[in-house]
Amino acid sequence: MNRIVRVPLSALLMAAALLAAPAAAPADVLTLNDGRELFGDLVRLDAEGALLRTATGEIAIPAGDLLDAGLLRSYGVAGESTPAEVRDPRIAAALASPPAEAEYPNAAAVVLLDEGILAVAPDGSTVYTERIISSILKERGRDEANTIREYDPELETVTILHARAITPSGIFPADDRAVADESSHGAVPGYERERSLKCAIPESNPGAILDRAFRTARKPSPPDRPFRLVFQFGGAEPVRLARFVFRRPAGSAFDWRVRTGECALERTDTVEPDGTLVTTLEARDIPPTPGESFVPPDARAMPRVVVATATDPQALTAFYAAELARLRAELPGAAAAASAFAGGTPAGRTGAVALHDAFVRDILLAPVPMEHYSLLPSRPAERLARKMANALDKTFLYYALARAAGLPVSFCLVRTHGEGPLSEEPFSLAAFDAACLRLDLPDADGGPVWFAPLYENHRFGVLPEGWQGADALPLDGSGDVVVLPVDDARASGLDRVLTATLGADGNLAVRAVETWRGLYDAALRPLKQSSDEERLKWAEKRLADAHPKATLLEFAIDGLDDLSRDITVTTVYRVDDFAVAAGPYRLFRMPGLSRGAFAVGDPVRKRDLYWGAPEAETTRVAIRLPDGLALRHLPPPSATFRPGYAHVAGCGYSAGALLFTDRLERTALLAPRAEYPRYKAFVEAAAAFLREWTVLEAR
Amino acid sequence: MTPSPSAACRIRPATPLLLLLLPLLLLLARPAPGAADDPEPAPPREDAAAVRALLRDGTILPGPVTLDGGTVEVGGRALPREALRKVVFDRAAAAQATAGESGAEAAQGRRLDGDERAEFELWNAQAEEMASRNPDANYLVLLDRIEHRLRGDGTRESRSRYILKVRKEQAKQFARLVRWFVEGRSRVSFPRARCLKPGGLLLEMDPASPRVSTPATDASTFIKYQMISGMIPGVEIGDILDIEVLEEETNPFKKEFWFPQMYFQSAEPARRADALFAVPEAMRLHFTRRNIPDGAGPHESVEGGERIYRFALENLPPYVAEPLDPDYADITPFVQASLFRGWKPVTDWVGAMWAENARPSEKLAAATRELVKGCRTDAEKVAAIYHYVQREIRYVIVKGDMSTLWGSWPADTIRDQKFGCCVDKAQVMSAMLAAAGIRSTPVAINAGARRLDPEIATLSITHAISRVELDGKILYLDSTGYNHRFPHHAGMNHGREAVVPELSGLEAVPLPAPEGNAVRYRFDMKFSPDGALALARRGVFTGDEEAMRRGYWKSVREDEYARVFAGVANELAPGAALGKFGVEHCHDLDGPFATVFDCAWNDYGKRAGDLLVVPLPNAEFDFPEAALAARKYPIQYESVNLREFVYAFAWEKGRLEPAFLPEARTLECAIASYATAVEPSGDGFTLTVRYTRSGTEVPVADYPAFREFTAKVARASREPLLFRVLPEEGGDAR
Repeated sequence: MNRIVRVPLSALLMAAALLAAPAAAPADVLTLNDGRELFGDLVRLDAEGALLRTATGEIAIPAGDLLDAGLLRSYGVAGESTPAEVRDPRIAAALASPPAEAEYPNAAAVVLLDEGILAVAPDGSTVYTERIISSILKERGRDEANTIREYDPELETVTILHARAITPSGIFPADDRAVADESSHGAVPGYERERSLKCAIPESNPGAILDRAFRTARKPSPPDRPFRLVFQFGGAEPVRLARFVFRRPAGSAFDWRVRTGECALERTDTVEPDGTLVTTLEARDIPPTPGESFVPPDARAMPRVVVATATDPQALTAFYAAELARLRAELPGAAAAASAFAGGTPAGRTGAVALHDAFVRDILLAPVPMEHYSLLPSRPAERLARKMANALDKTFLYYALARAAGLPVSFCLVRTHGEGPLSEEPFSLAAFDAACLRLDLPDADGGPVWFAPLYENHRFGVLPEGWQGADALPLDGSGDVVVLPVDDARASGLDRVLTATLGADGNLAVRAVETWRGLYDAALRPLKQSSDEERLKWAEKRLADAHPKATLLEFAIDGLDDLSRDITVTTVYRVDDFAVAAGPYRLFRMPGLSRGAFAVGDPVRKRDLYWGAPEAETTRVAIRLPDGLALRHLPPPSATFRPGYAHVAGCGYSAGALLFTDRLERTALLAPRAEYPRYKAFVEAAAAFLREWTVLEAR
Repeated sequence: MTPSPSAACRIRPATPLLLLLLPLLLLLARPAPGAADDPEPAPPREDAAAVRALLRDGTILPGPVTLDGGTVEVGGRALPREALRKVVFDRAAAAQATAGESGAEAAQGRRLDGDERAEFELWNAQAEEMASRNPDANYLVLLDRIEHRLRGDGTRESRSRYILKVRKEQAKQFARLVRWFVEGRSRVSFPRARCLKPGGLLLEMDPASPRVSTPATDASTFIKYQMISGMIPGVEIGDILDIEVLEEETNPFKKEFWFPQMYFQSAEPARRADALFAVPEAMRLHFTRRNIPDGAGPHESVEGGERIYRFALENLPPYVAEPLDPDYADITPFVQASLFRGWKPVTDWVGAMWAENARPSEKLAAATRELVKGCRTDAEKVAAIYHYVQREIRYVIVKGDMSTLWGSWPADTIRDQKFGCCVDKAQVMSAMLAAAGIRSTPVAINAGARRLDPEIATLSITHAISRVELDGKILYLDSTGYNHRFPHHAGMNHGREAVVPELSGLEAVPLPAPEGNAVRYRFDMKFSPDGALALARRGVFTGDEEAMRRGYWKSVREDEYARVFAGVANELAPGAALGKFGVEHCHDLDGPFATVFDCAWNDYGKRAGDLLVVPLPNAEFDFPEAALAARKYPIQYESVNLREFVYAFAWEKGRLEPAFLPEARTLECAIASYATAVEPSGDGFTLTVRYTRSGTEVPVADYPAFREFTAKVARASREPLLFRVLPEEGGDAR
């Protein structure tokens, strides 16, 4: 060991300045207790201290001054330190003739290669190797240089094989300074399992080619955590070549499904001498996805292949039901706990609702998706003790309590809309991303009710958006997949009743009563956490949005704390100069509503229309007119009816009062793009009615 | 209030992306404490580090560690050098629990003993009394206490205690305890984390259950802090939580930098909030005090060899946010301490690092000369460099310890790797400007956060920009973003105090003229008696108004422009038919960003009998910040603003005649004005609407007048044009 010396600040700053490594050649780093960071090659480290070789010589740091020593690794490709040494023909070709903006005028990046190679070993372990090469054309394409890979550390390891930018002037690999392995849910005690490995590649400006490769090795999957992998062909930027290679031994339990969509997939199958089956799927020149609103989730629309350890529905339901039975047995005192929640032994629908309303309030929902933690519920006693559970655990906990109390509740696995149709991938536990319950009541009591006891703001029986109409697997042993019910449009929405008086001065005095239902109700109910002052400010801001000139006079909100009731909001307000004075005329539009047509500006659409749940809004406004003003003009009525949506509005005059009515309803969850022109006309008609003027004239 | 026990319950809104460094800055600038179960721990010896090795596969091995060239030995086990990622010399001693998943706590609970029961009953009585005055509270803070202590050896601790009554669901989030620390510098423990049930049952968090993890940040942030999290089991509405958190900084990077602080008010009512700041008797503290009532402190005393300063506030109302209110620390009770007056120790420390890092290498100097070789003036050179740094350096936060966190990486490193954060980009700016012969320096600024005190320094600073000397004047530029055209910079800097090393103190960043943050639209409109309208709109922007729009349009794929413009037109009025459209200077900073489009409607104007009603497109002014009938706090805009709309109208002569046109008028308040002017032009007339706001603050006393002004503007801006439709010859207008 060299002589240990204390180094003056100026010398260290100089060393840092000289040696803080350019991206292409990272050094090791010594961090000192005083906050300084020194870069160089770590020659020696022991109980005495560290010796760092720098461009200006060697620096010895006593151990007492050291905070940490980092050994930095760069993620280049061995033997390729200059662009001329790059062996990949795609990159060489791209360097020689970069993708031009003229060729891709709309793109920020072009994906030259998006490749995934899945190799399954005879023991069921897998290695998935990804390689993505893209050429950056515009500034927004630089985000391609940041990548994250999530993994289950109990089954998987993720390795960055290489991550680099290549320009005509050099190769710039990522290094450990911009690589981090983090806990995805570290702030949620009890659900910390999933981790993420992320990396940022330097020098990713337009003109650069980004080349990165990752390997995910996975142990054989246990039954409760089956393997599932999705490879999607295409994305937000154009793709020249997307390739998925699937290598598996003959007789492998791994199954796969392909959705081609509008993408031309080329498939080749070969058998290697050792019997390994190799299937390759390739797609070339895939256009980017359009940025339209109200589009179906990518999982429902994009071409893709899904590989999973498949099972059959009966086997899965038998396995899962047995596991649930085992876990239920681990919750002693469940019946008493259910009674404690419900305020007495819950029975029938009333009991289920009472249990639900207390349960969703008292058990905190942990924001960790089941696929990030476990596809089987956790031990219910622990979750009950913590009073916190993620969606799967919370649903199971309710189920266990309800069953212990004798409620006829059954458990179902759910495949929400965000994951696409169940039929489009191998049947597997990993194909499900949620769970719900069914309360089986005699028809006399209203028949079965599907519900998810998750959210403190959702009333009993209100399924979240994306669940309605989704596939579900009841664990009743039949193995039959069912479709979850879709609400009637009336179940979710808003009803407004405005009673108003217009003064001769043009001021409008209004009493408005709104009733919020279903998912609308759930969106408003978080206000129960607010103080009276906060709610008043919410009401004032909301009124100002609708009528910037209004003054709130009274405000009340009822039902927030009671999940058995709809929420009712009552406001009394005055809008000065509501009716615009224009010479002898007074003009105004229907108050209390605003609608735009931004989302339907385009004359055509490229993707289908999609919504998460039905909805309906009704508005009824009665305005008493002042003496001295005569009605000169009324808005014309408007009516649009199509299967799946409708709008009806009109205005009438009777006995000194105007009556506006407006009803908008949508029951469709999906509309094909061919239907778009009619949907556009519907939205525009609904918006146009609110632009119509009522004209009064001085008598 | 001190940082709340759960990140999920913080009452302040999330900070912008640029401010992601704040948590780490706060953490590293924070005081430190003693062991959980040892009220007076012996100061750790300098050589008492626990050595740990972190391997690339995630394994953590205890030391000792030796490395000699390519040979590594950890705890007697030989490893290849490639397997080793990091060696930590942990002077935070008693290592935190290792990374992993939280174990299940024993939630058995026990009955309270006699003393505990008496204390519990007292708290319940206090809560009952508070509840009678605050029946709508989410939770009731019975005690919010912090004790900041600087020890004789320069190590520190912050011991905070919260006692609160859970009243609604959201407050149950306090059961989750989450704190950050820096490995080797600080540590966190939870000496008390318990839940008292109304029936007298006590549930405690298992002291062994909190776990350490590396928390996930966004894809472009790489900073070295760790998180410890635990959970008090079984928390329900009606429970009382009693939480004590001990944060110790046993290895401070600079002993004289100690800037402890306390926020006294939270989103819910507090019965008592107090703070204690203790230093060795020979030392003194200096305070910045904001909104502290008379008599609330500091009360100074000397006890047991310590000089102690105490603050205590009682019966604090909840803080309820208002639109555009100033930073929380500027409007609620807040104190922050420092061991010295003024900023010189901070500016000397950071200035030395910046001076070194902003020195251009010959390579960078040559590149700069090449960049500015066509520039004729210094202003052109500054503009070229400003635009280059904004566009070429991607915003990625890569930080090690204090020298890279505060001092940045050397400018050459940043330019080579083409990514960096605000302070990194400011180094590149200064280095390149120096190479071009223009003096400049990076400066720190608390953008989007509390105002800085000229006498009391802090390291809780969110941002860094550049101070440039150009033609004998001082100019501030912010190269962090990608979209500001010279000489504009982000509005969050305007009017804020910059920490300037060469001044050893603060300097205010000037407000621009309203024209420096402007929206200007021109509408050419021609309409027909049936309401049909042909419209051409051109918008030109400056300042944040420009940067925001350029940033948005950059994010839109070019083949999506038609969809977006069609949507904009359809939002003006449904049924729009889009014509030509485009954007100017979207992907460059060489000229003002502009949007242009033509569109037409068959029925933009609405017929009402023989009248045609024509609303002005884009004209409606809204002021959500003036929505409240009354305010407790001022309105604080980030910057000034100008909005100018010019409407040139033409119509079919002989078929329409004006029945009502907006009158020329001027409305004014203390900081803003709204003016309309009508002039004949060509076949029609031109209406000009101009809203100018030259100030950024509306004091509470001025709010009623300001609100009245905004109501008048809102009303005036909604007046439509009214035309009478004349009958065609031999026809009927109706």
